[in-house]
Amino acid sequence: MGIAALGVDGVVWGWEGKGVSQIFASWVIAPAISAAFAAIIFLITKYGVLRRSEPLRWGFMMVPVYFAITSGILTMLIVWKGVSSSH
Amino acid sequence: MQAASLNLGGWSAGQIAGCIFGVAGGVALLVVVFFLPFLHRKLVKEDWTIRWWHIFYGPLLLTRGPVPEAPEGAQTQIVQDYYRGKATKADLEAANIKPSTIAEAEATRADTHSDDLGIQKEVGVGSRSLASVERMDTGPWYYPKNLWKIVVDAALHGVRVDVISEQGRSSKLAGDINDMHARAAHFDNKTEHLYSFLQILTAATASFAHGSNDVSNATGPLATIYLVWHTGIVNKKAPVPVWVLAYGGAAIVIGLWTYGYNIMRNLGNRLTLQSPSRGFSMELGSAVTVVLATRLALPVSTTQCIVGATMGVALCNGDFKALNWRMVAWWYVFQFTKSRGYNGY
Repeated sequence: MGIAALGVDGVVWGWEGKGVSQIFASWVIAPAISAAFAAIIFLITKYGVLRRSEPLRWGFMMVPVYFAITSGILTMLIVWKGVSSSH
Repeated sequence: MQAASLNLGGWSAGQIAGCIFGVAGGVALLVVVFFLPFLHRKLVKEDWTIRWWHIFYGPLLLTRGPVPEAPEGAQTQIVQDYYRGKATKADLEAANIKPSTIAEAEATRADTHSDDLGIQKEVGVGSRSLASVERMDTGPWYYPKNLWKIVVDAALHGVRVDVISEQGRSSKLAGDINDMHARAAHFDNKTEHLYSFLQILTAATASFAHGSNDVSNATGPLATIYLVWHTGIVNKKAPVPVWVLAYGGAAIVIGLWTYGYNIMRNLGNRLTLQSPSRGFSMELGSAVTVVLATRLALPVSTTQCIVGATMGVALCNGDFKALNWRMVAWWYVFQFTKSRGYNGY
């Protein structure tokens, strides 16, 4: 949309504001942050549940917690998205 | 034009926090009361008679009494094997096959099918000719019933592809799949089964995040073109009409239905060994990232987040080579050529 509406000169190529370089950086940073979160969750699951001597028992204890966290995140997404798009 | 929104602008921080924690607590309570007794009956007592609707019995399931004896020869497998067709390092050594030789053998064979260990074998001539014999038997293609079959096949091709067995086939990008998978641990199947339910919830969260984030990126240019055509004015900030958003959502579903299997094939088991617990971690990790980015108004792609999360889990899967670096590199090249980063503005 930037190029379409404002021409090539309308594109901010540098770091200032929402420049293109910043978007290239987000290609590395966003997956890295995501990788860190996923790794933490998986390591908690791996050593807190799957690697224990009774994985099923620990799994039963963790399932409600996981469900609460996931539905909380889903609610956050809906509430925040609703707020940000209404104004 | 009215932008699509929930009218939550007037909510205070306390109301929002209460809503979030209320939903989380409510869901946890429902899970404890209804879901855990069901899981206990199914996985701990190994009740082969239990069906999904028994979940509504809730705590009553705890009083269901002893599990009846299974009739002779009945199929009573409680949980599917989530690691079916995946050899461990010990399996490969026991079979006395070097992983690399399997990959070489696969590469030279066009027609293959996988046996229980995921090791590819040649299919006999007989099974190949069966399909062609059946085709000859149904008559020429222009018969009405054959035309109908062609239409159905075309419409359903994308959802009928067996992604799991497709992934077993090695390619230049996939590399040595058996060796990569052998580096990851196999966990308890019943515990993995718990995570398959969680995965439904995290997948729904991930697709919601994807819809709310990426649809606007993709429909941004379209909305601008429409607005310029409609009003004749070039505007830097343009409201996106609701019908454009609906069109974008429908287009995503059509794309997933028809060609989604290509992405599933390459970014699933070909990236690292997948299982419900791993898939859950990946989806939740990327959902957290997307929520954070949404809050901070940072431009992120949910696709990048889920691939990043897959890489993160893969690195905790085993050693350094449990992740297919070649596929990751290819994917980055793909992202670069797509170069849609600036479209959203």
